[in-house]
Amino acid sequence: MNNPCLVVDKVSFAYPTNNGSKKYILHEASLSLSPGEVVSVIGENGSGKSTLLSLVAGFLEKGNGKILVDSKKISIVFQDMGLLEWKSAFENVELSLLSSNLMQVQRKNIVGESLSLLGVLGAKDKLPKELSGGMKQRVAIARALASSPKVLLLDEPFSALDWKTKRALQKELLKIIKKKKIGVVLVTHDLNEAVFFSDKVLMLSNGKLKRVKLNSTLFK
Amino acid sequence: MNTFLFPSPIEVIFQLAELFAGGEIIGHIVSSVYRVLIGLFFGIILGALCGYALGLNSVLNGLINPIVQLLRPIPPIAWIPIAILWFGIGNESSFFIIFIASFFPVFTNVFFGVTSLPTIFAKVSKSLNLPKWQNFVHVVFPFSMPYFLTGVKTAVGFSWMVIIAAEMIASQSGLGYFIEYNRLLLEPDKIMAAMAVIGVLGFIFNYLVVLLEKKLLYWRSVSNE
Repeated sequence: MNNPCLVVDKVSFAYPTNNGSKKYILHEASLSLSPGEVVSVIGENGSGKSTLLSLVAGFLEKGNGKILVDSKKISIVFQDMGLLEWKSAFENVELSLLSSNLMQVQRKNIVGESLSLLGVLGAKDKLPKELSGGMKQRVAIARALASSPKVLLLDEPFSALDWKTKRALQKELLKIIKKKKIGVVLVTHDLNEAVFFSDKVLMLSNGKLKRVKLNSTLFK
Repeated sequence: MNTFLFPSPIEVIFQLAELFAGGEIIGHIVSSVYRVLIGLFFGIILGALCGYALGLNSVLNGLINPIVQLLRPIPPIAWIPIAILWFGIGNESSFFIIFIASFFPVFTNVFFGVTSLPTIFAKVSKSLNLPKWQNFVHVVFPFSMPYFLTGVKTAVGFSWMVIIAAEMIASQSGLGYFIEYNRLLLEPDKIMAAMAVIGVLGFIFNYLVVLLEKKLLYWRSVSNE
């Protein structure tokens, strides 16, 4: 078995409440992710799914427990994409390579490849406002993949797309993930999507992650 | 109606043509424009620098912002007497008054722009491991540009308001001085001609900022229609 690319070991996290006490949103949550494996985390609104991703991505200071991951090798795709409106699709993707030591020519090639992989190379000079929702999400995914991550975090990235666009994008993304052996954590509240997209589905409930065993053929 | 006190628009236009033909008003226009440009330059640069510095650094903000907020409500015109005491009658007083008038709108707008950066952009920047300076160049600065330009537009309007008041009191040249001088000589047609010039100059300055805005913020007007 491959070494895991992400380990979340008994992580707890609490938000302070108005009366001075703490409200635990994660309580000794654990998961392990292998290269090329897709794990979905499902749960109700407010169950802590996004908090878990924020902890792994480093947006929140770590609570109790351990998170083992190479922080330089994580990418994230947000629900509302976060494309910079003043930059073209090309420039938005290029942003993910600016902190590297790559030459401009190398950056240009990688950005081109990444946009091409997601089928949006033709829109490289367009601004986000000129793109449809599906194309924007493709550009956002191209940006996340351009830096060759080992772990990809997906925060409900398909929720704003129509069913047909969503399924087409999920299929393409799955191919890329498996080919490049990227470990993926998908956060979603859509069980159907979780089962279609993942190797493993975890339910976040009362701060704990529990494996959900489902007959996936019912969903696919 | 008393045509001496209320000259007709035709009379004002003739007077304006005469003033330009004789060159009497041109020197005053040059003086006022020069003062506005210099005062605006320093007000905009320092206002923007302070806005970015305080917007990006919470410690600096905690230390300096209370002082800025204390000074901000003071009308620029109230600074004229102190400006005369500090700098005397002349350009420096006018520069200072225009600096005060342009600093605060630019500072306030830039500060508001920087601090209202959506969380999603901050997260994107962090997730892409952008160093602080790249985060500023690629994310914070472009995002705050519309706020900055709103501040500049307000500053330009304020500058033309206060320069006239400042020149009436603390100067020996400029359109404000020209208006006050002609009040003493009882020449209302010349006063109105100078007022028309101020209106046109204010319009031109504002138009230039709007052109700049259209060029820099082209991304706001595109759509996928």
